[in-house]
Amino acid sequence: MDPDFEALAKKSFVKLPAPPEWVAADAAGVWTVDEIKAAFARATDTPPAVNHVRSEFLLPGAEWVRGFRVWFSKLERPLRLRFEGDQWDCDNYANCFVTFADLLALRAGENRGTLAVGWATVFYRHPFAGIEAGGAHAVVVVATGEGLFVIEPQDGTMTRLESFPNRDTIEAVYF
Amino acid sequence: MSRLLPILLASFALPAWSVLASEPAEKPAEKTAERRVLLPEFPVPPLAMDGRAPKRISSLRLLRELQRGGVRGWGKFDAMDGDYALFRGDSLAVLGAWLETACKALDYDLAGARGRHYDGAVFARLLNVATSIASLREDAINLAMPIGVLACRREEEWGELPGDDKDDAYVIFATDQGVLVYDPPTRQLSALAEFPNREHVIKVWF
Repeated sequence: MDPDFEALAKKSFVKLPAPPEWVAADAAGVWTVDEIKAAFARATDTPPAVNHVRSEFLLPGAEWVRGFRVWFSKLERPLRLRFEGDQWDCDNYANCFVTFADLLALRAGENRGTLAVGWATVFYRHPFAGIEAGGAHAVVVVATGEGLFVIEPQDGTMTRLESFPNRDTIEAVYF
Repeated sequence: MSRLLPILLASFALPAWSVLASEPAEKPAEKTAERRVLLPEFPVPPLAMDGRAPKRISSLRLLRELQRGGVRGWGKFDAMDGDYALFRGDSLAVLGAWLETACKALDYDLAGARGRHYDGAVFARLLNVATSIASLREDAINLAMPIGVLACRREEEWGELPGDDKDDAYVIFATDQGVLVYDPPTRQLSALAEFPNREHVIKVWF
């Protein structure tokens, strides 16, 4: 397929705020997919299916993730994000969070592996970060040097997997 | 050019000696501007229309289309949404152009990506997010974008890609011409029914 660059010729560029800088040396090492699965198995008796293409993942530093989370919350306005049925719902928020983390790593020339930032589908038995119990939801899952974290992408709440009240009902994770 | 202009104007506004006396330190505002993320305006999704309404496909129908295209076995398909729009199969070139322009803006060499670490899921996600953001500006769509990830074992050769038993991932589109598989670095596009590794699909998720 030949890309149609002409169709984009008159388009402008979207400017997003300056993100937290990805410093290659801050990455906290590499985990195999088996290490990620083992971390889930330590936190719950019902670990989720982990869907992945690559078998090794680069762990971002927990501090970078905290900074990224704040930056991501600033994108809502310039990108004009809003909840809108199937068009833009919880899985889109989670996918968007993962995508922009990937983008920053690509932009920094990071070539050592896929970032250990994925998203997960969860059945909410317990309310968490403003999301009520009793339905399916999508959140972000990040493996860092400090372990696995769950992030609610719509408000930036970040908690260790061990403290996530719905850790037993995470159905699938997608990296 | 837009980044150079303020620097040039600042140089004219200062006496010549002040420019010569010391190398001007980079201003924090300029540093911030340099670090900003620039992306091409998000691509309006090329929707297939049924009169004035976008054509749609349910997740169940999408599963049937995958099976009809040759994906075998159960538990290989996840869909996050109930209903998806359908793209015009003959209009995907604009999405390819957007993706390549975005990669260029990020200073990422997409064509040479397979020579380094490459994960096709990253680019499928990027296209999905970009078209979803653009669709938020269009009224009355209210459908999920039909772009997913196809992960498979590369048992058979596909154009430039060898049959070497390695795992790989591609972009998958649901269109009015059927389900299509796209590999961004090589620009290869194929109907799922003609995709040589359709029987070696590990998972498809939308």
